[in-house]
Order: sequence, then structure tokens, then C-alpha cells
Amino acid sequence: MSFASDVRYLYDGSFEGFLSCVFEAVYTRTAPVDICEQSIAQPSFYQDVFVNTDLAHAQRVYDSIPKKICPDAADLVRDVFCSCAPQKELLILRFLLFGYRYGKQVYYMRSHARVAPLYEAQRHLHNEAHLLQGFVRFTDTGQALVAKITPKNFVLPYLAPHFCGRYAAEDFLIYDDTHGVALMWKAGVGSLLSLEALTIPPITEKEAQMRALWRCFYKTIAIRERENPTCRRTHCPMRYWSNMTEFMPDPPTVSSQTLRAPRPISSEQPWIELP
Amino acid sequence: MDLMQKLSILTDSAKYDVACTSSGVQRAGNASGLGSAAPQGICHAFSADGRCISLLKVLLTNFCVYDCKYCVNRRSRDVPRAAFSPRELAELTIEFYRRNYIEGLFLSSAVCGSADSTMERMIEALRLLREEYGFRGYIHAKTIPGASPILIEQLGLLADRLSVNIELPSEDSLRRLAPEKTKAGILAPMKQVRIGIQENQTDLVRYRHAPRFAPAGQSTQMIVGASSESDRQILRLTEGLYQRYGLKRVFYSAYIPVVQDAALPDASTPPPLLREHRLYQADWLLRFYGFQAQDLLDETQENFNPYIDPKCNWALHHLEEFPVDVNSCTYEQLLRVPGIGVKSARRICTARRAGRLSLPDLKKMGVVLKRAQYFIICADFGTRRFQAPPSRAQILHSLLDGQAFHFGCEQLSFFTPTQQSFALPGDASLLEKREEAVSCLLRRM
Repeated sequence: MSFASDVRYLYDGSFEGFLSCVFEAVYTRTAPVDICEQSIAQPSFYQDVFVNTDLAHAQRVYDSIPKKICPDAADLVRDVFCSCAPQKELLILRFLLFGYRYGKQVYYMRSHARVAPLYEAQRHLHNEAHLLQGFVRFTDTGQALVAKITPKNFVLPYLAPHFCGRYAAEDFLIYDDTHGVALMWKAGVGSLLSLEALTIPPITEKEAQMRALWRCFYKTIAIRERENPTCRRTHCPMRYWSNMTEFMPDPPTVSSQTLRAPRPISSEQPWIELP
Repeated sequence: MDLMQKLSILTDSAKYDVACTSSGVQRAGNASGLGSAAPQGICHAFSADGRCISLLKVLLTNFCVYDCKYCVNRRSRDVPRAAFSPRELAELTIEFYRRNYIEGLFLSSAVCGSADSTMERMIEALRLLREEYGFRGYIHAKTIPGASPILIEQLGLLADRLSVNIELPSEDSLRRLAPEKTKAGILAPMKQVRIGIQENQTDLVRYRHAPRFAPAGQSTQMIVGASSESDRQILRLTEGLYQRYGLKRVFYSAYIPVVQDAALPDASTPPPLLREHRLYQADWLLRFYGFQAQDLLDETQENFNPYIDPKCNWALHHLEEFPVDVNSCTYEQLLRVPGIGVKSARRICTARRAGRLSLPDLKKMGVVLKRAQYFIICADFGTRRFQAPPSRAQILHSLLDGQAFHFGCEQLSFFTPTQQSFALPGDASLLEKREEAVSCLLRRM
């Protein structure tokens, strides 16, 4: 590993494929200048080497991480691979080589140039996954609940346990538009499918009513005297808004009902005589 | 009246309730029911005022027999009134929950008829949700002051968190602004809930399937700015509530003049948002940073300073404890450094196992140094620098909170513009105000 080379590794985009690249780099003693997914790699002057995915090699590399570094490092590597950090493959490779050399302590070197970016990427991924646990909005199509998200990181594997537990008795589908993958939960069985596009059927009357009710609730709950758009944007960045029901424009209303202090009708007296 | 109108009226009446947290209880989902609860809590939306929406926050009804002067639902106020039927509310909650709009239900109510009949209606709504719809999400219920103990117990078995509003920070203001309520009447249910939670914990040790009573604990809220208590009184009350009643949270709500009354502040008073913010900062210091109320405020200082936050204020008064060496000090000492929070302190403790930390190291780990730099020394920073330690005035100058002046922190400029050429009309007065604040604060220290 003492010399630099001008080799660029291409792989098929899977985690196993990437681990095979690590294997290749270690056993051919090359330091690739970059590792790229083949489908999105841009032409370059480097020498491209396509690394075939070898499950046995990948398994060996994955098993080596807890053994030679520490068990948490394996999680870190997996998380960073799902994140959207630029050149994440190279970051992980450098971290692994560093770790193979110095062992367990590298996991605690949170400020080291080879380790800090990984923590940063992991934090970004976990934060986004946590936010999306709240920001996913389902549409009830009659047969299943359907939602679309456009996250930066590949968060579906991190959302899956939460949603599959919560809506265990329902059927649902969460479509990740950025990565073209959908999480499907049907009759108690979950799966990740790759999906080109998702068309949501026209919404039912009940769905429209619920959306309207939610928008009404959302508007009413805000206190005008405390309005603070910056605070809202910090907590709920605008890139999530496009998929959230409360920010969709109200459909044209048929008849506008006025809300001008309607006196209670006698049949709607709650349950006692009022003072 | 259709559902939309009811929802709008009853949300409008409930929006001044502060608590909207969904944390503190873990319940996995299962195939026989709908929903789960996550211990860290999940925010589902943020409203235009920047507050999180985690629960469907509504009143069961806003018909009220009380005439509390500060309240939007007081009897003598002419507002639209409405009431949900228990089934209506349960169905609405389920439909919202299925679409992932909310984390659960926050149910409160005005007192319609007697306290007991109101409570019975609330219990009916929650029972429908839990038993008929198999709802396993989060439920926060408000106990109604004056309800009988047996109803409170039933409510606690259905809800995750109970809360009793303490409303105002002292008995005196309670007598003045909410004449129908008494301190004893508010504290009695709070005590009952605390005892219930304690008993339940011993029961759970003995019987694994014992029904759980308010597993997420209890909370309370009070209005700040409607009466004349000082911050010190409020903070001591808060501390007492945490220690004696084992509360999970105390919420503060800046008083917003919605109703007019001679006993209340004028309608044009802006809500004391900065004061509320300072109280929350202090509340966090009590709960997570090992501070005591008397550390933060004492006889010489009755109110929090609008210009600097409580932690900085404490640090400036205790400069003899600083600087601390991040490489060798204890976790507790780290927590007391302004600008270093629980997360940063933990990160520092992990990272220093691998070697001595320098200032760039701290930066890379995500520790914010804006305030901390005046109070720490680390590998490459401090020992030389602190031979001539920054004076209190220098530190104070850079710690002043921009929020108090409605402008950002002091920025360094490449070109050091002359003040005459670039200053806007407002700038000079702001600068002057700032200087004044510094000198005033220094005199007091």
C-alpha cells in the first residue's frame, strides 16, 4: 500500500460489491484513487477496473471489521455506506485500512481526519431517518397506505423497523424517489423493491376529507403572536415540505362555511344543562 | 355542526396548552393493534410558530363553568363552543394516526358540568381508543381539577402521561386570577398521580403483567408573565416540583393577552418570549446539567438576565472555576462549561481516550466553541493564552446574546468598515445599547 496508483474501481452499487473492492484493494496492494458505482461513474482519465461482486470475499471483509477493529465499527461502516457523503466508498476504505493497522482505538479517534467524516455522515443519516419517522405522510388508497419520500440518504432500511412495527396490521408502501427503492409491507411480510416510478391513484373522498381536516388542524394550532418561520424551517427543512400534506395547497372548496360563533343547537348540547 | 368546524374550534381552544411531547414510554407495535410508542418521542410536524406538533392537541369540549381570568375558554367570553363525542374523537385520532400525521392524542377539556362528568367523558373516549380500536400509540391526558381519585386512577391506566396544570406560579396569583381554583386542589391530584406511579413501579416488579399506570410520568405547566412572580420564585417552584412530585417536565407558557381584564397585563403587551426561553434554558440546566436553582438565581439576582443565558451568567460569576482542561477534567465539570452540552461532553469523554485533544479536534467533533473558548484549555490552546486571561469585560462582550438586541452576534470583518461610513441609522443606537448593557452587567458583578 506504499505507492499511489491511478486505478479507479467500479462496482455494482451493492454493499457486497463495495466490500469486494476493499478485498481487491488489500490483496492486490493498490490504493485506488476512487471507488464508484458503475452506473453513475463519469468518464475519466484513470484506469477503470470493474470489481466483480464476490460474496465470499465480501463476507470475509465484513467479518474482519469486528475482529480487527471493533463491533461498533461494522455498524459505522454500514451506516456510512447508506449515507450520502461524497466519496463515501473512499472514506470507508481509508478508515478500514487505518483501522486494520491501529486496531480498536481508531473508533475513539473521533477527531482524526480519517474517522471524523464517517461520524459526520453517520450523524446525518441517523438525523434524517429520525426526522422522516415523523415527516412521512401516508395516503390511504383503499387497499394500502402509500407514501413518497425524497431523502438525501438511503434511509429506508432504518425506517423499516419503525413503520413495520407501528403499522403491523396494515399494508403499506414507502417509495424513496431519490434512490428508486420502495419498502413494501404486505400481510406481515416486508421487502425492499426497486421501483422506477410510483403513481398514486386519485384520492378517495374520505382521504380528501382527512387531508382537509389535517390542514385545518395544522393552520389552527399555530399561535399568531408567536409566529417564527425561521424556527419552523430549522426544525422542518423546506426540502421535506413537497411531500407533506399540510403544505399542499387546499383543493378548491365547494362551499365556504363561515365560522361565526354558531350558537349551540339544543340537540348538540354536550351532555348537561349549561349554566 | 360538522367535524371541520368542531376541530377548528376545539383546536383553537387547546393551542395555548404547551406540552406536546411524546417521549418517555416504549411500547412495541403488534399485529393485533395499531401503533407503537418510541421512548425518544417523534415530532410529526412544525407549525408556523415553530412549535412541534407531535400529538393531536384538542379539547373534548370548550364549554366551561369556570371563569379564570387569563383563559380563552372562560365562561363569560363570547366564543364559539363545541364538543366532540367520544367516538368522533377516537375515529379522528385513528384516521390521523394511520396516515402518520400524529404520534398520538393530547386530550384536555374545559370543565363542562362537574369535574367528574367531564372526566367520565374523557375516560370513555380513551377507553374506546385503547380497547375498541386497539390503539397502542401515545396518549397524554389532562386531569381535571377537582375530579374524584377513582377517575384519576382510571385515566392513568389508559393514558401514558398525565398532567395537572399548576396554572400560575403562586397561590396569591391563583386567588387573584383563577378564584375557583386553589393550590391544594391542584396539588392533591398531582400527589395522587405520583403515589400511583410509585406503587405501580413496585407492582410491576412483582407482577410482570400488572396494568401500567401513567408509564411516561406526569408533567405540568404554568403561565409566565400574567402575574408578578420573579424568575427565582418560578425556578424554585420548578425545582420543588421535580424533587417532591417527581415530575418529568415543567412547561412554561409566555402569557399572550387574548382576553381583556383589569387584573391582567395590558392587551398590547408582547408575549415575554425571551423570558420563557431563559426559563426553559434554566429548566434544562436543572434536569440535565446538575445545577440547582440557587446556583442560577439568588437573593442578589431575582430575574434572569435578558442579555446572557443562565449558564454563561453562572460561569461569569464563578470565573475562579475556569478555565478547565478538557483533557483531564471530569464529565460534571465539562457540563458546566458554557457552550458544551450533554452530547459534546460525552463526545469529548470518548475521544480523549484516544489521545490529547486540541482546539481543531474539538471543532471536528462538532463541539461549538463560540462560547466555550473562553472557559477551556486544551492541548494547543490555553496555557499560554491564559497567562493573560481574558478579562470579565472581554468575555461578557462576546457572550452577549444577539436575540436580546434583535440582531446577530458581533461579526469580524475583513475590512473593518469605519462606523461612520457604513452604520445604518439603527446601528449606532444598538451599539450604544450594547455598551450600556455590558457596563451595567459588569457593575452588578
